[in-house]
Amino acid sequence: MKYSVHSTEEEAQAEIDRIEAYLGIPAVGTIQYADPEEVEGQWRFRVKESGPWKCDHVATNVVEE
Amino acid sequence: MAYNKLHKKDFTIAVKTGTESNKAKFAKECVKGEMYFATDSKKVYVANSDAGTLDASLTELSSAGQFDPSYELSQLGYSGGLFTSTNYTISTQPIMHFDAAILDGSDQANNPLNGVAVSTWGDRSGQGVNYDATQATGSAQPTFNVSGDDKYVSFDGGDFLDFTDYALPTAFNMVIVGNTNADANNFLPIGMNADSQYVILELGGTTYGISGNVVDNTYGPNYNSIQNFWATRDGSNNFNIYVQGGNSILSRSTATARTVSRLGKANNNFYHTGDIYELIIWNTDLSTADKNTINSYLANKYSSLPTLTAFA
Repeated sequence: MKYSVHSTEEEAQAEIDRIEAYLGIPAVGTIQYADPEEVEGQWRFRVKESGPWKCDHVATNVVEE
Repeated sequence: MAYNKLHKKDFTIAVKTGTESNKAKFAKECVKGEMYFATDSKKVYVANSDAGTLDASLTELSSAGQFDPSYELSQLGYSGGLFTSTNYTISTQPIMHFDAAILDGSDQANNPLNGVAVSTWGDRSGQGVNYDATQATGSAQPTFNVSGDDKYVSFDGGDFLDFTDYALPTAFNMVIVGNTNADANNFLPIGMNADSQYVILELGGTTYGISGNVVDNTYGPNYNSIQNFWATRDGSNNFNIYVQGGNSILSRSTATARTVSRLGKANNNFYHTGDIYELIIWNTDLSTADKNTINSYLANKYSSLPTLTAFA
């Protein structure tokens, strides 16, 4: 599973905003791409690796866990 | 025009034939009401308008539509549901019925294309309480897939769909058709509303129920192809998990309460990694005849299912 990892919540949210613009979200049935979550002092969100919401190829600071 | 005065000449219907690839040509020259039969796909189309400066729009008259008699006969039927009298009719309406072949819970004609993200999996039980399962966040949406005649929803290990919590009564039955996408991955088709609670979970080769677990080299680590599971509890608190029909792999007496809450994820961070084809829950222990009728319906529908042992 891959995550986009950032130092602050604001940076993570800015990256989510950028990915939502890239994917065309909000869309019918989809109001947001992800919520940032705090894990061990860093802020991250999951990035899809397949399907219509795939964005691991465009997201920044992607880490696989 | 009175029906009894119709003559043969009144029934002239223009039907043109060709291939799917030539259908576009038909749309450029047809008139409203004309029909087109694609000999390669066996599909019939009707023109909704005259071809003018724009091509006519065509509607497919599906041979496997929701109300096609042969399609209806192959469905699970029960009073109050989408289908009430079929070759597989049972006596008890389920509480919730998630069927990927009718993804919105009302009509297979509304199914999305292969590979589309699923924001709603509709409950087709027809009950007054709607247990439609939803996910508004894109990164957590599973995917609708089609393989041959089979439809299923794929969860990639970070996906889930929420529905209104339902507290399982003492007696309940749950049947699941699903699989993991690798032996090492989690089988967790349905999650509860509290941490560390399950009805059925396979983790690292061990299968867990409401109470108890089983390490079983025959079944536990081998859920990476389409499987049939039953989780049942009768009115005397006898809980069982069955695999491939009536093969019990776990049997316990437990009165422990469980509340189902979502598809594909536990309350904590355990996710289903694999596919779910169908999941049905009843608020009673069904008769043996009904259980076997349901398995006959599933075996007919999913040709890749292993042979199902009858309940006795």
